[in-house]
Amino acid sequence: MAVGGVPLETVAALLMLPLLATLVAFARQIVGLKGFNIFTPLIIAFVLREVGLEYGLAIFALVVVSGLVARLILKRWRLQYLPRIALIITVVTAAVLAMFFAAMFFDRLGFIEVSLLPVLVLVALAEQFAAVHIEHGAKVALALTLEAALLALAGFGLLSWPALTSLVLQYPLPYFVIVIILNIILGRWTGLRLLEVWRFRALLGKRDQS
Amino acid sequence: MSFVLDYIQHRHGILGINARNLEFIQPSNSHGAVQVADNKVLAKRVLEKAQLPLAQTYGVLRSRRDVRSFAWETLPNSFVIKPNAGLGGGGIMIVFGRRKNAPGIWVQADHTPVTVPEIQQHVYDIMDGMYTLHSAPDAALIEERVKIHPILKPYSFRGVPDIRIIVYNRVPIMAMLRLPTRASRGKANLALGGLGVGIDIASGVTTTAIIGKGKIIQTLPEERRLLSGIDIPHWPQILSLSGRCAQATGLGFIGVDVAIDKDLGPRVLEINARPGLSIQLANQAPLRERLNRIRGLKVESLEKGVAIGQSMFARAVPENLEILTGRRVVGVFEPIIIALPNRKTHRLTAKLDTGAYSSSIDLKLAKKLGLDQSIAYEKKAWSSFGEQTRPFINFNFTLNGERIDTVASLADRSQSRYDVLIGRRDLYNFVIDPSRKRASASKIQ
Repeated sequence: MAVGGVPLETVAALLMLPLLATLVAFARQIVGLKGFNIFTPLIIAFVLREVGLEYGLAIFALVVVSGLVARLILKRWRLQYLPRIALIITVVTAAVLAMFFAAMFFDRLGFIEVSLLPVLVLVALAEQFAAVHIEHGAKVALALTLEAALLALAGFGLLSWPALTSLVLQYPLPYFVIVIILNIILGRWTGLRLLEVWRFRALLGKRDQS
Repeated sequence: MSFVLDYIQHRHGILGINARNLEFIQPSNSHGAVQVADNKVLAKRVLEKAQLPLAQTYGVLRSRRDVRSFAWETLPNSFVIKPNAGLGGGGIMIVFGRRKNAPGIWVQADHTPVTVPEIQQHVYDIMDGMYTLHSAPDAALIEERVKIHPILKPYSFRGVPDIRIIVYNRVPIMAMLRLPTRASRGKANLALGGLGVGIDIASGVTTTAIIGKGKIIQTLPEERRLLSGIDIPHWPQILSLSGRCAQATGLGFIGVDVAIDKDLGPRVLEINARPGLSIQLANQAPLRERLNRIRGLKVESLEKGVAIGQSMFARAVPENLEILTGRRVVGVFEPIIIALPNRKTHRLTAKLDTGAYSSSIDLKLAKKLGLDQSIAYEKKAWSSFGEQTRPFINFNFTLNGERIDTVASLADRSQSRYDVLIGRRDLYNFVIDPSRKRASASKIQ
């Protein structure tokens, strides 16, 4: 099926973009998840949709773990930032290649059918994780990566919810209006984020003594 | 309708990131002013122009050639390297001292040695944008390491403690002392496991404290040293400095970081256009309520701003205490009026010391005032010098409006700063609040 020559699949995927972006914005403004940015969870969600949950998560986990190992190894040498990132990507690529050959060896042919672009995207994300790791340390990097993965999973859930997709396809205009209004509200929300309620729980119900 | 929404969002008076950004940073801080604040070199230039005391700059390195041509060997024993546009204290290298007999080897705050090539590598990392948002290229700043003030020295682990003051609309709103710990590897950064100690804006005396992300503590970790009651030196000067920083940078909502140098006094370390929110936990007090009370207020001058902050946000505990306990709250150093035998009176500042049982008065002063004539009794007393007999005289004085008829021992107090010491026997009707020290001391001047 196509809409005026554009494949329906493409239209549906495009239409879901603003919703996923809004999801990330919601997670930041209301819940207080820091994440990386909108791009990271959003692109992982689409990768998961493209290659399937199983393979997608496997490659994602491999990228994160091999990237971490690479950073720990490279820590010993004094290297400039960009060459260091390039080396990390080299290690991650090697790990992904090794996984492909291992999959072939164990006859998991589904792996080999995974298309190129999603894999490239995941490998390139290694830079994001590495940058955060270098700037804020392993703990923060792992927490942020986990948050991004959770958001991506939630996004993947929305993407693979057929009823939602068809609803959006059916009423694109009201959908856009809702997304716009939702984001204006999110952008104006000045209340405490959920995680801040937890952070400041000792102060809740406390009066200033001045 | 909007009132309802507002109530739901802010009934607790706590300032969250959303409200900080939307209601305080955006309306109060212009884009240009924020850019200046985010650029340490530029900010220093602006503050220098306003003649504010700063940590001395040894060098600004912008290119590889700068790094190669910099005279590294001429650096003093201790210094700090910072990324010019660094965020949240990242990328700061604190160099503590120089290895003896080994030129070109320094020691970092966490005691690891560091050589010139290693320092240069750190500078290259900074330049490559390792500590900036989106890895933007950066410059490195080498500056003087402030010498720690003796009052704060016992509380800080190697690094430099600093004081963060939030100033809004020229009024100092809330302050916190940040102490480096072993866990934070000498950095005064809460996120790294440093300590945040709340400060009473009026007196400059510390109140409550947290470690790391917000765990409330009473004493230094692994030690019994109390974190409350630290009397921050140069407090009035620090408050006025914070206001002048706000003025000079044009930031309506600003976090000013001040360190106190042993010899040179308070120096501005940094200014922050997006001050963090943990200060609320350190003070155990919500910030938003205070900000709302200051919003829209016409503050004519910096002095007025400081005065407003000090009177509005002074800790109100003592007054509550008086009602609760029925006892008068006094400071450690209080003016007293001594009744003399010749029906005249003598005023002086006495030290209130619950560590002593009875009061004592300096022998010379007692003679001068004629108090040594009415000896009540003599008593054997034990001190570190062995057994002595001490005369006790009749001693009548008024403290905070209350007349006390008692006895005091005569002692040679020429070595102490206060001629009269009031012991706990005469303090039953009082509660001592060390943070009141300055308030009452200034009263008698």
